[in-house]
Amino acid sequence: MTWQHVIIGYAAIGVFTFIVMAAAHHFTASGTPEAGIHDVLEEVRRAQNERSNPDRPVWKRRIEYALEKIVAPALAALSVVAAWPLVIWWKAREIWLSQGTEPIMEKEFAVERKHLLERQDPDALEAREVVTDPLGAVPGLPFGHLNRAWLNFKAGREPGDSIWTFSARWKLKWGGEEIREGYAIVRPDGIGPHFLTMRRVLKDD
Amino acid sequence: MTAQIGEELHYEGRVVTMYSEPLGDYFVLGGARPEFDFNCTALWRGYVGTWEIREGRLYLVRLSGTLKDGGHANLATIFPGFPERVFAHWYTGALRIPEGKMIEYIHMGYASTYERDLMIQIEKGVVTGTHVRNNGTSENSSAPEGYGIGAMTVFPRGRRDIDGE
Repeated sequence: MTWQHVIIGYAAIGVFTFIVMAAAHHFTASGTPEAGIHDVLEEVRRAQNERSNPDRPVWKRRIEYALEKIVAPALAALSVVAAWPLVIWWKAREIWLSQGTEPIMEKEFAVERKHLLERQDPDALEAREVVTDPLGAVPGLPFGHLNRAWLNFKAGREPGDSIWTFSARWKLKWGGEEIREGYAIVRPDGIGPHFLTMRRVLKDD
Repeated sequence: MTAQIGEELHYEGRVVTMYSEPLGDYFVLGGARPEFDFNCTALWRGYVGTWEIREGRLYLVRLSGTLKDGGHANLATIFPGFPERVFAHWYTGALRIPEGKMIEYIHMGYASTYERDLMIQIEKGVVTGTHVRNNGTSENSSAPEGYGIGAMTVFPRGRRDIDGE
């Protein structure tokens, strides 16, 4: 066996690896939407054109298209063929790590007794929370566009429950802090579901 | 996370890009979120919204996205009966708008720094104040002006001709 045989064998395994990966990606991608991400990108391009250069030449668009459709996939294929051991190791590690591990979940927000502010009369609070807009861009209902969510929340009341306002500071898992306000159902034996009406990220102010 | 395509805002005769995503708060507060498809690393949220501040109020006036079932998402998808304009009464917080030359490009989220941030304070959809936060001066005279992203990966899903040509 000569070194040429080794190189040809190495490249052949690389090509096979690439074909398997491309096929796996093709068959695991769900659906083939007629209107894809290109619609969204088209919106972005449209906005950028409005701002910068409305007469953007066609050749520039063709170059962008070639980069996206030809150059980028070709580079990806070349990388896999050249470094297939690394690709296989990376993929195997990804599969290994994903087995038996739970996704990282943020601790779920819950209203506590110390967050409660004041007991509410449901009819009065609904009258107070009707949203209006001079351009008619909101339904004139309690909590406006969030009315359905409110009705679902309200339907969760049981005999003996009451509705309270609450305000709480909440530390986000990935840093930062926010204030959360809204209404909570208070039960004889604890606090039930809550309905958020506001969250304000403190660090952005 | 790749640098993200921002939401668009029409403000005082200008079209600017925001570092804020007010529609995300709508979903957090209980608004029904359709299943958006995403196959672009620069757009994990799966949609781009166009916003407008008119007479001191924040409105969502356009939305473009793709649903998991392949359909196109627009305003009426999320707000039935309001296909043209939606008052963002649910939003409280600051709209952050990067301005001036870029000081540092960071290919992650909205982490790139620009010379200034215009902060528009919103209280339940109503503008309550504005201020400018100065972040320094770009030492590079040819640094790009206005928000942009450096790269993204688009995962192919279907064929589409270039710019409809």
